[in-house]
Amino acid sequence: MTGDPLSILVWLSAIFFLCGFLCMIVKRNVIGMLIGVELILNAANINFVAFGQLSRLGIDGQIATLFVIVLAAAEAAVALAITLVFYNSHSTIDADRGESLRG
Amino acid sequence: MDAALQAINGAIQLIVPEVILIATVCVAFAISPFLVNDRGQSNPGLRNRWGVIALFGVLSAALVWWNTPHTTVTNGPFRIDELVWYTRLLTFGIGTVLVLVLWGQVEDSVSGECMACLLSILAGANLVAAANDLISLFLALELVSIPTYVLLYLPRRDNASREATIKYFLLSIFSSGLMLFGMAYLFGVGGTTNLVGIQAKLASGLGDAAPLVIVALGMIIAGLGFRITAVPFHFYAPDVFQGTAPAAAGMLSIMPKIVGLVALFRIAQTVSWFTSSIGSTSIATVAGLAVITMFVGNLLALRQRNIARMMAYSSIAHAGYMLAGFAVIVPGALANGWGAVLFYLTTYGFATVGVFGILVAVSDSRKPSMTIDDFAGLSKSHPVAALLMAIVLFGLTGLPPTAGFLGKLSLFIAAWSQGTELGPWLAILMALNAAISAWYYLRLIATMYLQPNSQLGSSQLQVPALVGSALCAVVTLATFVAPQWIWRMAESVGKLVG
Amino acid sequence: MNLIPNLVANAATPAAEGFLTPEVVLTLIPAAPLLAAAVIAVLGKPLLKERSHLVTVAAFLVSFAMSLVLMFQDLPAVATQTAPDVVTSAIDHDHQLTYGPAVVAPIFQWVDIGNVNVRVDLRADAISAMMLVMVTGVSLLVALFASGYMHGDPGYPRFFGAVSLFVFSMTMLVLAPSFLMLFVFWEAVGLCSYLLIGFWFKKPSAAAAAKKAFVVNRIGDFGFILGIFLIWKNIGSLTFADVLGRPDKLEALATQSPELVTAICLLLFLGAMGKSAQFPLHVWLPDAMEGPTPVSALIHAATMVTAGVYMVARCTPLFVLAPQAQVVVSSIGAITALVAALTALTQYDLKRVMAYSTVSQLGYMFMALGAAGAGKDHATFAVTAAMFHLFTHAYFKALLFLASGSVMHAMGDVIDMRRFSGLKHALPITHWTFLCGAGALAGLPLLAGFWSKDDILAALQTAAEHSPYPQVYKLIFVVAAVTALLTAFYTFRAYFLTFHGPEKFPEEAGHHPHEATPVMAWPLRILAVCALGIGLLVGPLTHWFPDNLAQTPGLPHHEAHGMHFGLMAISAIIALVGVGVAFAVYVKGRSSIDGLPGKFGPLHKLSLNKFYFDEIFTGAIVLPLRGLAKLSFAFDQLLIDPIVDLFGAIPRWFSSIPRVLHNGLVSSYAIVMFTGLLVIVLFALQVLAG
Repeated sequence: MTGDPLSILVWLSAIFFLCGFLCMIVKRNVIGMLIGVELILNAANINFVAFGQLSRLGIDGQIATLFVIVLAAAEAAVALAITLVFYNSHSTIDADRGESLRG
Repeated sequence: MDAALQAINGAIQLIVPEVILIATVCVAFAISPFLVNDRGQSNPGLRNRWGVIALFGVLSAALVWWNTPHTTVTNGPFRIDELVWYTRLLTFGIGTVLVLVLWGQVEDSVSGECMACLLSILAGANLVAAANDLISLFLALELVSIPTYVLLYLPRRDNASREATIKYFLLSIFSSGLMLFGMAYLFGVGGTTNLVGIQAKLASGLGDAAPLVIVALGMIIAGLGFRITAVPFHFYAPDVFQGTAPAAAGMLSIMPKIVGLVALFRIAQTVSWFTSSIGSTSIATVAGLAVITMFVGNLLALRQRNIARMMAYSSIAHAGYMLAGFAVIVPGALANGWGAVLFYLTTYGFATVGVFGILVAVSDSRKPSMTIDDFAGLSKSHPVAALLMAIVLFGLTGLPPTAGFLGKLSLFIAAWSQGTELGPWLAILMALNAAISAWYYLRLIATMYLQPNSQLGSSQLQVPALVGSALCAVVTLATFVAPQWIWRMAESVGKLVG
Repeated sequence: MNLIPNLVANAATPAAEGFLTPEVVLTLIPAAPLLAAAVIAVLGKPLLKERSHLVTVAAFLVSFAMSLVLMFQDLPAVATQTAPDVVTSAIDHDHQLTYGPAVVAPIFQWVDIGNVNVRVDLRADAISAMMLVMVTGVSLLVALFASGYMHGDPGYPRFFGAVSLFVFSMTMLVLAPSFLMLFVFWEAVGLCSYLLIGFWFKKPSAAAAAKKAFVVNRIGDFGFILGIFLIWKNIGSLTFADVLGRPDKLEALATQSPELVTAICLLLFLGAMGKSAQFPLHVWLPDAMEGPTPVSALIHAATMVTAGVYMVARCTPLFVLAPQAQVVVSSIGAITALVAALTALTQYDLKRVMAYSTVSQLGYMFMALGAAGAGKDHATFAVTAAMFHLFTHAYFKALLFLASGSVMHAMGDVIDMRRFSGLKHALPITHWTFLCGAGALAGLPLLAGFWSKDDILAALQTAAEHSPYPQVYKLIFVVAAVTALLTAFYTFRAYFLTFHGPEKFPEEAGHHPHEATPVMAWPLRILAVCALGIGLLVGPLTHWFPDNLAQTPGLPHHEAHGMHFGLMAISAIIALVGVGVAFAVYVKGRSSIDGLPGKFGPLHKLSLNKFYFDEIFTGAIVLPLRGLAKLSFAFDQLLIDPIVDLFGAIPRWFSSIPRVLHNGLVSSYAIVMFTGLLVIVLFALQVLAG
C-alpha cells in the first residue's frame, strides 16, 4: 500500500463499506441495520470526495456528497417513521420477527 | 449569479411535466393534514376528490408533454431525448391507470398523501430518464424509492403492510447504497458526474481503469437489479407483494422496472456498453442473469396459491425476458433489442397493472390477501371483471390476440437475429419459459371460468379500479391490432444505441 | 368494341372527381358489407328485425356500384398510366403493391419488426374487378330474393348479418394483395359458410352438414397452408407482387428445383379442391343444401366455391412452370365433372341435382385451368376460358338455385321431384326463368353456357395438341364432351320432371301454390336475361371479357382465338341430343319412368347413392381414425400421462430448491444479494482478464 492519499481513502471507503455491510447483516434490530446502511452510503461519500480531488472542476465530488447527505437524512426520517409504526404493532424492532411473509 | 439563474431556468424548462406533477404533490401534502380531524378521520368521499385532482395532475402533465416538440436537448443536469419522450408516454399512460386503481383502495384520511406519493413516483421515473448527471440520476431514483416506502404502508395500515414495508425499505436502501458506491467509482474513472462527460472520457479507451469500471458496473447492476427484480436481488418481491395492498403491489410491479431498465440503459450508454469491449464481456453475464431470473420466476410461481405472490414471481420472470432483450442489443440491427425491450415493457406494464386492478376491484377490505380459490367462479358473479382478467392474463402469457404476443414476438425476433450463438439460445429459453408461465396464468383463468362460485361474489366492485383495468384490457387488445404507432416510437428510441 | 365500358364510364364520371378516388372506391367495396354486418349485429334483433334486409341490400348496392366504377373507370385509367408488369426491384420494406396495372388502397401496417412485415392493403386488377362485379351483382340479386324468401323466419336479422359478413369476406379475399391475407379471408369465407349452411342449426342434419363442410374444407386448407409455407420459405415473401410479379425469379426457381414448384402448385390446388369441391373433397357441397336456398345460390354457385378457381387462376405464373401439376388439375377436374354428372342423373332432390351440377361445372373450370399446361402461349386462353365459364356459370347457376327456391317456396318446402310435377302453369315466371337457366347450363346454342363451354373444349383441344401429355388431354376432352351430354340430359330431366307432366302438388303446398312475389321475381327475371345474353354479349360479340382479363398481370401475352365453328357445331349437337333424350324419356315416356331404376339396376343404384362416396369415406377414413383415436387414448392414459406428470413434477421439484432461500428474513436476503454481486463482479473480471 502506497502512501498516496487517494489510495488510502479508497481503501478506507472499502473498509467502511464492509463494516456497514457486516453491521447490516449481523444486527437484528432495524435501527442497527439502518446504521449499517448509512455506513455504506457514507463510504460512497468518502469515495466521491476522494475522487473529487482529481476531477477538473474540483467540487463535483463534494457537491455529490452534499446531495447524498441530504438524501440520507430524508431516508432516515422515513425509516424512523416506519420503525415506529412497526414497533407499535409488533412491540419490538427485531427484524427477524417480521418473517410471516415467506415462501 | 445571472448565469446560474439562467442555467437553472433552462434546466427547469426541460422538465415542465414533472414540475406540474411535483406541484400537485406539494399541494396535496400541504393541504391533506388540514382535512383530517384530531381523531384521524375525514369526510367520506375525500378520496374521490383527491383521485380527481391526481388524475387532473397527471393528465395536464401529459398534455404539456404531448405538446412539446421532439427535440434532443442537453442542458446540465437533464437530457431530453427519445428515451425521455417514451418514458413519459409510459409513465403517464400507466400512471393514469394506477391513479384509477389506487383510487378506491385508500382510506379517505390518507388518500391525499397516497395520491401524492404515487405522483412523485411518476415524476421520479420521468426524471430518471431525463437525468444527465450521476447525482440527478441518483436523486431521481430515490425520488421513486422514498414515496414507495410510504405507499407500501399507507393504503392498508395492517401488520402485513408493516412487515412488507420494513423489508422493502431495508433492502432498498441497501441496494441504493451499493449503487451509489458503484457510481462513486464511475465518477472516479470519468472525472465528472456528468454522464455525457463520462461517456466522452471513457470513449477514448479504458486502459488500466477497466477493472474499476467492471466493479462499478457490477455494483450499479446490483443496485438496479433490485428494482428490476433480477435474481439474486429479487428476494423481497414475493414477500412485499403479498403483504402490501394490491394497488401498491401493482405500482411496484411496473414502475421500478421502468426506472431500473431506463437507468441501466443510461449507464450502459455512458460506458459505451453497446459499442466497446466492456459490453462484449458483460453480455454473457447479463444473459446468464436473465436466464436464471426467467427460470426462478416461472418455476417458483408454479407453487404459489396466493395471487399477489404469484404475480410477484411472474414479474420476476418478465424481468428475465426483458434482461434477455437487453443482452441482445446490437447497434444498428434491424430488430433492435432495446426497442423490443421498451415495447415489451409497455405491453407488460398495462397487462400487469390490469391484473392488480381486478384484484383491487374485487378485493374485500377485511381480507388481507387473496388466494386462487377466492377467484373460483368469478365469471358467474362478476362476468365483466372475469373477462377483463382473462384478457390481461392472456396478455401476460403472450397469446394472440393480445399485445403480449407481439411483445414476446419482438423480443424473440430481436434475440433470434442477434448474430451470435447466444441469441437463438436465449430465444429458445424464452419460448420455453413462456410455455411454463402459461400454466399458472391459465390455471387462474380456468379457476375463474370452470369452477363453481365462491363467496367472493357478494362483494361490491370498486368502480375506478374496474375502469382502470378496462383501460388496460383495451390497450392490450388495441395494441395487437395496431401496434405500429408504439413500435415505431420504441424503435426510434432503439436507435439511441448507436 | 368499347361500347359498354364507355357507357358506364360516362355515367360514372360526374361523381368520380373529388370524393370517389380509386382508393375510396376500392375501400368501399368491402367496407359497405362490413358496416352492414356490424349494424345488423348491434341493431338487428332489437330494432331492425324484418327490415334488416334494407341495410344489406343498400350495402350491396354500394358495393356493386363501386365495383362497376372500379371496372369501367379506375382500372382502365390505371392501365393507360402504368406499364404492365411493373416489377419490384427487391424485397424491401416499402413493398410496391402494384404489380401490373392495378388499383391499390393501402389500409394500414400491422407489424413491422425485423424481417417480419405484415400489412393490410387492398389491391384490384382486371381479374379481381371481374370477380367483384360478379360477386357483388349476384349478391345483390340474391339478397333481394332472400328478403322475400326468408320472410317470416325468426332468424331473419341473423341471416342478413351473416350474408353481409360473407360478402365482406369474399370481397376481401378477392382484393387481397398477398397470400397471407388471401388465406385469412379464405378461412373467413369458410366460417361464414359454416354459419350459413347451419343457419337452421336446430335441425341436426343442417348442423351436421355445416360441420362436414368445415372439416372437409380444413383438409384442403392444410394443403394450402403447406403450399404457402413453401412459397415463404423459398421466395421469402408472400405478397403477390414479390411472388407472382417476378417471373424471372420463378423461372430460376423452376429450373433449379422443378419438383418444388410442382409441389407448391399441387398443395395450392389441394386448397382449391377443398374450397371448390373437387373430387374427392366434393362430398360437402351436396349436403350443404341443408342451408336456405339463397345461401346455396350465393355461396355454392357463384361465390365461395369460385374462390378456388380464382386462386388457381391468379397463381398462373406459378402453374405455367409446372406442367405435371397442370395435368393433375385437369384430370381431377375431369373426374369430378364426370362423377358429379353421373350422380346428378338419378337424384330426386331438385337442389341436389343443382348441387351436383355445380360440382360438375367447377370440374369444367379446372379442366380448363389445367389446359394451360399446353404451354405459355396458350395459357392465357385456357385461363380465360375457365374464368369465362366461372362468370357465366355464376349467373345461370344462381338463377337455377333461386328458381328452385321459388319452387320450394311454392311447394311448401318440398323439393323432392317425385312429389310434384306439371308446375309450368302454376308458376309461369319460375317456369320460364328456370328454362332459361337450364338452357344455359345445358349449353344450348347462343346461350351463355354455350360460349363458355365451347371455349373450354377449344382450350382442351389446344392442350391436346401442344402439351407434353397429349393422350391425357385427349381423354379429358372426351370426358368433357360426354359430361356435356350428361349435363344437358340431367338438367332437362329436372326441368321436365318439375314443370311438365300432370299437375301434382304435395299437401304442404296448400290449395293453390303461389308464384314468386315481385321481390323474388325480379331477381329471377334479371338473372334469366343474363343467362340468355351475357355470354354472347361479353364473349364473341364484343370480346370485352377476354380483352379485359388479358390485362391481368401475370398472364402471358396471347393472340386472340378465332371462332371454332367445328367445335361449336359439336357442342350444339351434344346439347340438343341430351335435351332430346331427356324429352324422350321424361315427356314422351313419362308413364314408364318408374320402371327406369329397375332397367338400369345396379348402375342406377350406384348413381343414386352418390357412388357411395360418403360410405367409402366413412369406412376408409372415419372408422379407422376413430379406432386410431381410441388406441391413442389408451396409449395416452397408460404411457403419456405418467410421463407428462413426471415432467410436470420436475419444475415443481426444482422450484423447491430456491424456495429454501426465501425464508422471510431480511438479513439472509441481504447476504444472498451481496454474494450474488460478488459472483457477478468476479465472473465479469475473469472474462475481462482472459
